[in-house]
Amino acid sequence: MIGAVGLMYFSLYIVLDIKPRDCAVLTTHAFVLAEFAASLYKQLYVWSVKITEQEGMVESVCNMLLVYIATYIVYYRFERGNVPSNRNLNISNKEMISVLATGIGAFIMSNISFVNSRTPFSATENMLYVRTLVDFGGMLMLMTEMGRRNELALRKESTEINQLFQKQYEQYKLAIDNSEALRKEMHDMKHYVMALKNEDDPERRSEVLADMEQAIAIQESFMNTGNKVLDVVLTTKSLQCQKKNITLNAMVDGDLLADIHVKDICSLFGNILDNAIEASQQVVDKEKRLITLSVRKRNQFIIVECENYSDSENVKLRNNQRRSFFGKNNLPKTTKGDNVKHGYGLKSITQVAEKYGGAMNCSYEDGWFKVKVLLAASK
Amino acid sequence: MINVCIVEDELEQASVLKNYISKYSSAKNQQFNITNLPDGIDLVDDYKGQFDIILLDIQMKHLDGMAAAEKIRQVDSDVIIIFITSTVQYAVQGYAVDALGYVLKPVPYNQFEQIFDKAIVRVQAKQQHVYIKVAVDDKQLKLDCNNIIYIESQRNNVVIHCKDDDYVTAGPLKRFDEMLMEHGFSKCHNAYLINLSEVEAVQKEEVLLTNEVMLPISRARKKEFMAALTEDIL
Repeated sequence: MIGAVGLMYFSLYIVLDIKPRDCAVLTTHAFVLAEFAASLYKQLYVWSVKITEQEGMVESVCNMLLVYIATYIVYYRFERGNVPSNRNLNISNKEMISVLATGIGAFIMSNISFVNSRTPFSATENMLYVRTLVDFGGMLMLMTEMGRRNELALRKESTEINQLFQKQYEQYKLAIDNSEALRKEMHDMKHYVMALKNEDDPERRSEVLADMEQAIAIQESFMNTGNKVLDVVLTTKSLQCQKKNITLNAMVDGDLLADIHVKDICSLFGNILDNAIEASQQVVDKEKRLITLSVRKRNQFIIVECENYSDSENVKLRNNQRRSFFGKNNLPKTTKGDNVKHGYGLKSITQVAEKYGGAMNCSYEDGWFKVKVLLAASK
Repeated sequence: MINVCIVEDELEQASVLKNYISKYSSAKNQQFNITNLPDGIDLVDDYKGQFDIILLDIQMKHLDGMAAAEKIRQVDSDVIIIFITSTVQYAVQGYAVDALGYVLKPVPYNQFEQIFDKAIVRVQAKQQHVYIKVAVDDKQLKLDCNNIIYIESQRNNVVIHCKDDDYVTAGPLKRFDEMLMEHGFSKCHNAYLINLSEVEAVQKEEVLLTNEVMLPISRARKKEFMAALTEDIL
């Protein structure tokens, strides 16, 4: 019996490529399911032998096939939604122990009658029926637990995406204040020039010049795209880029974004550029720190495309493939250690794309990571 | 052979670009024919659509790059324009003349390479034609895929809707799907295989094509269709 469970564990572990604790939980589910299917089959078979009085290998196998197939299909239908296929469950130790206890408990209770018929939990007459019932109960408990867990995870995910939206929005508000300050700075520039004209001391002079240089550097990165919100986002991000020696080339038609909600613009461009900056700053060769962003119109679509150079260690390619595509349920995994808190940037980009009737895809080729977002343009 | 024109008034800068192109040429094994002009006015004067790619300086004496690009666009909507500039100010607006992008002077090679790569992909996509052979009324026809708008399945036959005419040939649609999947076609519905570059718009449950035909999108295929469209659109 222990060997069978071990085999189950290892085959799941190897086939699914998951964490050990997640695998333990899935093995328990599988084990209880198998127990249930087996006892249901035994019960039905004994019953059918009684009714038809026919006994033999063929009937037994037919019965077994029928019961197993039906049980597994029904189970699959119920449990399918509970286990996300693209993500680790990240089961904690406590959860694992409670699942294991449920599984072992169900196993002991259901089989105790076979070992000793004199315990208070033993049944003598309806032994088979009790066994099926207990296994069914155990299975139900495990399923409910997993379902509840899944629901909680979903709820948590959506709050986190919302928080991310909020963060981007706050950044935007902050940036507006910045741009107000910049305008004042420009005004002060006039005074600087006046001061320079009348200043004879060379030390004072170079001080004023340094101040001016700083102010101009900030002003230079100001963009004028035709969309106020995007201007602010781009300015903030391009300042970040400047600090990190990243070249940001943008060719952007801001007018196209007139019908897109402020929050969505912040979230879309904030996330796209944050990701690109994050990846670019890890590139050792400063010459290669480059981000290109373009927003353009083709037919009745708005295309947002962002490319950045990235070292290939950050993008995990399978079997040395040269090019890789990431579909909707196959987004690149976060490079940060904790996959519970990170990796939402791309998800919220997808959310915005789908909100405006479009789609998003990412690809990686020859060192260039590309995010492409399609939005439906209103006429 | 790809025809490139460098429009640049500073000799030094022009020769840097020329060196880059020859470096690119030997690295990627691609042949180029380079023309060098000193001002926008020279480009516009006798432009006959002879270039595939134009590298255009924005600040020039007689006719600046942006104005030159506008004039070029009036006669040639296909040529690829890349700005070479020392200020970002105007370049950001390059979308107005449908430029591919810009690079800032002094141009580092890897930036040049990135944008040139993109340009080459587009030039090659235009130069490359994929043909399919179909039997129509006992005749073998060779159809250019760029000419096909969509293919419709009708009982045992399929109707190939081209820009000029419709052709009826033996099905099933699956055969065409397999053949054309690699060449920018995707199914929006069990009965329709669409050339993605002919998609004008996507509404909730319909695709509008450039020839104003409206086709339904089936719910089951929408995700896959949108993904293919996102990937394919230029």
